[in-house]
Amino acid sequence: MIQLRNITRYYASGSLNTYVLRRINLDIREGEFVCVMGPSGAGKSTLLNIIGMLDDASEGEYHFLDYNVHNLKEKQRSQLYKEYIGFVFQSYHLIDELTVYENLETPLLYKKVKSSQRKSMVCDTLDRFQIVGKKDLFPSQLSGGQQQLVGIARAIIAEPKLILADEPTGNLHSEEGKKIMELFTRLNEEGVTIIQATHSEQNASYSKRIIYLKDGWLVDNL
Amino acid sequence: MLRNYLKFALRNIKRNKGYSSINIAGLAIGMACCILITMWVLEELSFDRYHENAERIYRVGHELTIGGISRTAPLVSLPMAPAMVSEYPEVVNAVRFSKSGRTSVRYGDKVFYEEGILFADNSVFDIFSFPLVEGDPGKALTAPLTAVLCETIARKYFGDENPIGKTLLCNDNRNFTITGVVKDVPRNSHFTFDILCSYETLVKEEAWRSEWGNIVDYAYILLEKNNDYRALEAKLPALIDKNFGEQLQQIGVSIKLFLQPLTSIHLNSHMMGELAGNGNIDYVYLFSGIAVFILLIACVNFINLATARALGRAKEVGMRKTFGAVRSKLIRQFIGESILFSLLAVILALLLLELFLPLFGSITGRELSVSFWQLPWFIPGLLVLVLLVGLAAGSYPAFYLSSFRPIKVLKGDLKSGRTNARFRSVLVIFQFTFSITLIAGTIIVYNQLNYVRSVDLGFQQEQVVVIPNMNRFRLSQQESLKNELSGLAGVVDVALSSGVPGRGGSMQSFLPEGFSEDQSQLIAVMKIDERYLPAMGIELVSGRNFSKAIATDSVESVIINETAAAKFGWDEAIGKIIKQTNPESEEGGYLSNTVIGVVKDFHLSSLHEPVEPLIIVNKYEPFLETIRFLSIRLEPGNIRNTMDLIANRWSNFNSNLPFDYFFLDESFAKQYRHDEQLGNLVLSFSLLAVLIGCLGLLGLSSFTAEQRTREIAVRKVLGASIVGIVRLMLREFIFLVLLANVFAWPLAYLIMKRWLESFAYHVDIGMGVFVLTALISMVIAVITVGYQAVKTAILNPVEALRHE
Repeated sequence: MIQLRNITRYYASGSLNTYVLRRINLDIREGEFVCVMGPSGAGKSTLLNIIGMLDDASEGEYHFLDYNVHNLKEKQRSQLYKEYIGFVFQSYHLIDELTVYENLETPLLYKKVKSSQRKSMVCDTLDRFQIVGKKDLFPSQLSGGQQQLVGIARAIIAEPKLILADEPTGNLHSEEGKKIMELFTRLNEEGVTIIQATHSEQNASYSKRIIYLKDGWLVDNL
Repeated sequence: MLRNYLKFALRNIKRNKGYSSINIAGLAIGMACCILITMWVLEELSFDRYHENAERIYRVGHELTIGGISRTAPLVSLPMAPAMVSEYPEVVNAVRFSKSGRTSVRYGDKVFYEEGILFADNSVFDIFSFPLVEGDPGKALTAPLTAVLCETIARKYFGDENPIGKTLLCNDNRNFTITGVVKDVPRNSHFTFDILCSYETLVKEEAWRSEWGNIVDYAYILLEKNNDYRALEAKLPALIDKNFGEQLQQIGVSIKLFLQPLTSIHLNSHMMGELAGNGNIDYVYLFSGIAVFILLIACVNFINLATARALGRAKEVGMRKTFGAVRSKLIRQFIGESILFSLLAVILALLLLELFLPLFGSITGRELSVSFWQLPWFIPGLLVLVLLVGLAAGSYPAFYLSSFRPIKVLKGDLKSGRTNARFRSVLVIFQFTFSITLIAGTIIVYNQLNYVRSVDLGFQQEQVVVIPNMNRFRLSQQESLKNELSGLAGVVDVALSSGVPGRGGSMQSFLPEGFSEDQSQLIAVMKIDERYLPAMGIELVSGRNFSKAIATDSVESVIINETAAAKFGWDEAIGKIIKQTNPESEEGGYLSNTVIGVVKDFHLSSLHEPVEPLIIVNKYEPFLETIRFLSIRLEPGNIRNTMDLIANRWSNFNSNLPFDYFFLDESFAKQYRHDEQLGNLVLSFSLLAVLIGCLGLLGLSSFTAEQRTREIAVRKVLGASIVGIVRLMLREFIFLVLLANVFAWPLAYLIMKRWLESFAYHVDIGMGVFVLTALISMVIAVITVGYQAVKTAILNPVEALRHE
């Protein structure tokens, strides 16, 4: 599903380049549950962003399904990730001005799903995550775990093939974190590919494969 | 501490260059407008106040009622003012003026046409403050055929020579001896002059003026101190009664005299026959309002931007509070900052003023060239402005910013409040309501001006050259010039008349058939020859034109216009009799005139006035109306050549007087000069108001964009397209502008309706104007906000989401 070949990412700072990722080679098949680990600043988020096509690699090739992502234009890329990828963030990034229901509905709006179908999809998802009772609340009225629940619900509502989760439990206490991880496991069992970046060994234990990053190098690929 | 604050504020300005420059530029433009308008308003209000006796001087006017219709004019007859002085002890002095038309003035080889000649009693120097540079104010104008020149005119004719004792030849028939030189009349005078000739000249040479009924001159009286002019006014009917009451009764006319305080003439008096075009108190109110609102818009910008930027200052407020700053101290700091902004803005405003003052002058047709630095109130006035603007703009942000709770702020828990956003929306709506009102006003003014220019006037005004002052020549001379010119190549037709559209014309009383003797009507009269109607393309609706072949035409035939026929209630006007009093007959007999034709209505005066009933005559006596204009219709094309030919013939005809002429269409259009100036002014101010509003919108939209960066990044990650994001960001502002449109429309409608009502003929304010206004305002808003929206929309979402 994903093939990274010699992916390098650097930022120009003055006359020197600061390397965040160095010649990463990585293959991820459909249905995997991968965990990216490493200390702060190792390049975990950057790797996820590149896989999520939110960021460009400075060098290297990226193949996603049958597409050569490194050759695609912005618009085609956006088309691609809209179709296949769902994102989960450490700080949830729910839209404060919208209710839970509306937050879930937003990705469907952008995918131009018809109104009636949208409604049933949102309701199904609310049901599945057991948050029907909270559908009219605003994000600020929810606890952190609940917000992340909505964040994940929003990520999967459009039925993506791949979920990218950047420190999904970083702002949660352990009990809430555990629930989220169990949710990921369930989703993975249903066939969704999941890549998560995390510090936590405990979280990593849920995944089937762990990748270690250090100073931009891929140091271990279990 | 103060130094600390100052340093801090300056550094803040420097660091947020975009924010600061938008704020300062907006305030500066607003202030420049405000200062400009204030200067103009103060000048309007200062008219005639420089006279030492300003509060004691009154102009005498009259109201004439005939056949139930009243007309007022600022005119009196020659004996009236002296009678008031001798009759009423409270009237200390009086001066009479008589306006002379365009006059040729010759000194040696130098000959010019002068417009600014006034005949005046010598008391002019006692009553008004017109200081003489040379000559004796006690007797400069006491003798007939003496004149006093303004300094500029004296230089024009005499250069460095001493003009005293020299003579000027006026209109080739009167030699005036110069007895004095007077300082130029200040611009803020409701009447001005270049040359003052002695009124005694008229007293001696024009005996007809001494009749009480010949009301053609101006008079100003000087009252004793602390005297109520209304009390005097109440006594004036007795004066009229005593001197020519019987005479008036006989012809069914009543005349009432009234007084106008000198200082209120310029702004409040708009009668036919004013000495000069006066100002308008409505415009003073209108522009004062505009000044206040433009300044408010600029302040609103400041408030909007300051509150929008509040998040940026929140940390600072939190820190200061943890250091122990109390709220009042913070408020003082923030207000101090806004006063600093205001101070910087006023400096920029002065620079702008220096740059744009000449432009303003050319738009208003009046130069405000007085170096404003010299005005004693200027610097204190500016300081007051700075404080006022600083407080108005700074108070709300100061109270708002200083209200932050330190713990919340420092935890980064501060959310842009919903109420705050709503407050900003209200302010944006306020700004745009005003700008849109001005835009709509501008469109309506230009619509009307366009209408006025393109409307069918009932005569063909193009390619007509008019030679004025034909009354200097005898009838036979007029005829011979006319014949000579009609033979020229390129000349279509030549015709003589007493008035032309836009100029001249007088009224006389008539008794149309079917009206009883006490119902005589005051009706406009025009005297023309038989060529005038065809030459001007004025259509006959029924009957016939005057003809040379029919002898009675020059004795007792008249043509009337449609309005006259309608007013007299005549379905068939031809053959009807119109009687007029016979001025030759002592016992008030009548002369009879027969209507031989009816012309389609044509506009003798501007579209401000309705078409009045008109009686057109052909005969020469006993009408006082004299032929004054020779109109020449030219073939289109090669007009310059034809003009050369005409000028050539003129010099053969009279070599003493320079060839003087005007084009009828240009002269007619001059009547709308003030309306055009108004249009230009409203246009300028609406452009500025829009500019200031846009600056604010630009700043505001960039802050909103900044605040929403995260939201927009999330939306993009979820798959929103760039177009979708831009639309999302525009939607909010477009809604505000639309709402502002809704508020602005009725406002513009009411104000402009009042202005349009000053025209007897005007366009209707249709929906089109408002749709156009909405479109314009929308386009402006989209362009202003669009830039920021696009910039935000194309931003890489990673950039926005990275730092959390």
